[in-house]
Amino acid sequence: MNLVGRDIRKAMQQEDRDHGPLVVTPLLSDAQISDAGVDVRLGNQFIVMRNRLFGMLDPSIGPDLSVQLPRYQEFVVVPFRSTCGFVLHPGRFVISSTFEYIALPGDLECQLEGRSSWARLGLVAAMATTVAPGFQGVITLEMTNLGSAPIVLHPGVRIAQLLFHTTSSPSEYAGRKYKFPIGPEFSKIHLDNELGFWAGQA
Amino acid sequence: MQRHDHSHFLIDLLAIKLLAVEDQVARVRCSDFPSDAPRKLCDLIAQSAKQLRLQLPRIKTEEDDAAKRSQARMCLMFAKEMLASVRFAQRARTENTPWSIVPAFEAYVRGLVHEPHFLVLRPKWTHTYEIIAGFTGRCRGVLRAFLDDEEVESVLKDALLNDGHSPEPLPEICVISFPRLERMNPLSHCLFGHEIGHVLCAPWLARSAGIKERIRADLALKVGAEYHDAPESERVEQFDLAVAVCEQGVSELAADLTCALLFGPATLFAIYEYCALMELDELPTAENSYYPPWRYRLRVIQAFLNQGASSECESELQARFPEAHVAMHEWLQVIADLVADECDRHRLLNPPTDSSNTLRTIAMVYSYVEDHMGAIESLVRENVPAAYCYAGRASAVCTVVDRLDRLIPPNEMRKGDNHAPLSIESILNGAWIFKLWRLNSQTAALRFAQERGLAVRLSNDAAQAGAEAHRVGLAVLNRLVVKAIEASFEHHCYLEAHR
Repeated sequence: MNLVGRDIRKAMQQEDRDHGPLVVTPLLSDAQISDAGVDVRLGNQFIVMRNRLFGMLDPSIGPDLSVQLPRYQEFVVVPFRSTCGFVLHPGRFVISSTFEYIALPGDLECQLEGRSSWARLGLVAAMATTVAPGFQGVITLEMTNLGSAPIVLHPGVRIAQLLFHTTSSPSEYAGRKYKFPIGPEFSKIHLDNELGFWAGQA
Repeated sequence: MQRHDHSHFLIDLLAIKLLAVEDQVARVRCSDFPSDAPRKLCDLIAQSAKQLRLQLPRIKTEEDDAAKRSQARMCLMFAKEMLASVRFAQRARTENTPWSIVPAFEAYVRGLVHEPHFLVLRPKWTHTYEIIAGFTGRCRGVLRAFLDDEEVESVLKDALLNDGHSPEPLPEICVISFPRLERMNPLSHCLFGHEIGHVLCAPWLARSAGIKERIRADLALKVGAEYHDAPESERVEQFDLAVAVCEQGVSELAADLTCALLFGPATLFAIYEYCALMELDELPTAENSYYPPWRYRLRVIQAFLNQGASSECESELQARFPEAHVAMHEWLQVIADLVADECDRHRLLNPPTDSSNTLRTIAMVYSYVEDHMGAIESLVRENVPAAYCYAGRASAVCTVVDRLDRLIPPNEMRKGDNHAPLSIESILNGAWIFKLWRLNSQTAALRFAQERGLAVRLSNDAAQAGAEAHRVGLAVLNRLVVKAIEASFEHHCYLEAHR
């Protein structure tokens, strides 16, 4: 069942909910909560790939990838309210995160949708859109500019929307790889157990 | 004739050096910084170097050879000093700093200091907190040797202001250094309060009410009495020592008290954690820059905090988080026991009868400092504009503890139907209480990790599992606190702009 604005407010205010309250923090403006969901803002950290340093990304090389990743990626920070934002050029990919920290109770899941206004400029704000019940942390945004003109991204702007749904029964967050992030984190796909099997290494 | 050419050659070399300073600064300036302050430092250095370079042709034409050499030497010394200062900006790059909390701390300092300041935060490999200030003043001093006052102020304004706005006096630049190992340990950064204390206390220690002169006059009398039968040279030496020990001691103690006033009990926990494994009773010596013993400083801070203690916050904490309340008091008792042993004070004030004059003088100075501790405390209370009222923040501190226990950044608290951002002080105090409660040992950390499902690879070896839980628990705490300080600051700015 989808939660509408008043359900979302209620889920946020009821500290004694059975499976805990819904937390989206900080909510700078009450107007971020609409009938459909909650608008979330762009954080100020970005991860860009140093393409010149590698030929390809092969997750099946396992733990070696986690050693090499810091060389392959570059963290960029754009201060809030600075006049120059992050310029995302056509065809480029960047990882960022929401400014808001989310704590989902065990009986709610949410989906992240890019806002239509940004999509019309060519921006895909998020690709992996489902957030599991019980997750806590900022939500990673995988952004691509599909348009033909560079897009300037200013940290703090409302970039996407969270849509909440109740689950048929409560559950505990089973994710092991991404816990309590406060900024974007690079892929930990190499920690997938069965990757070696499918890469012919078993 | 030959000598004249030689000095021209040296001045030409100097011009190249100053140009190199400008070039180096321009490169550093292109880096990513978490705030404008490091760029302002770069601009100040580059503008000053440029102005001196433009003066070199005039120096060349100076007829008095001695004056020519003196001016050229001054330019050279300045170029060397300024080039060395570029490292402060270079190390303040985003990647080296706890960048997300830098704007919040900078705004916090600006709110405290009457005169406008830029705050540069940079890591040091040595494990110390330190402050260096006065960059604008030093540039002004050197430039005045070559330019008239109006020109100097114009150069400084060009460097420090970028919006035509001209506050009086011009902004000063302060560099606060922190230990690189503690970069992502915001709880330890309570000690910025001590360094801010130096900024706040320096003006009144230096000027107001002639405190420095009074101290010197008092010490002159005391040294005269103590060494009345000593040769004049010895009396002068001991007087100089007394002044150095006293000024450093008063300055450090006043900065400690400022930190305590600004950050409340968090100061005591942060300083205790910082110094607990060091030599606590080391007497002031030239080697340690005449710093007072750590145990002595802890005692002074604890006594100061006890004066303003109130049960208001205590009772709410006790009601909502009884275990946290007990844990906090256990730690306060540990510190109380530590300072109850007055071995440091005994060593300071009671040197052996056959001890050196140095120890006699230090004893005399600290006896004098203790006689005036009340006055130092009063001066700190009068001159520090914002005291953190720990007792009045009971709900805020409890909110922080509660949110951290649920692994949520403690950046705001509910006020009616809305949420209000929490202050840095409340976040840090609540975070310390949480740390002393939930992460005060490996056993406690393991319990917390198991209860809250922290991603810990639990080893079969209990000791290893505890150590891992402790490490992960502290890392998560630090991340949540860093996020909270950033989020509360942005929240505050947003509310201010949309009021």
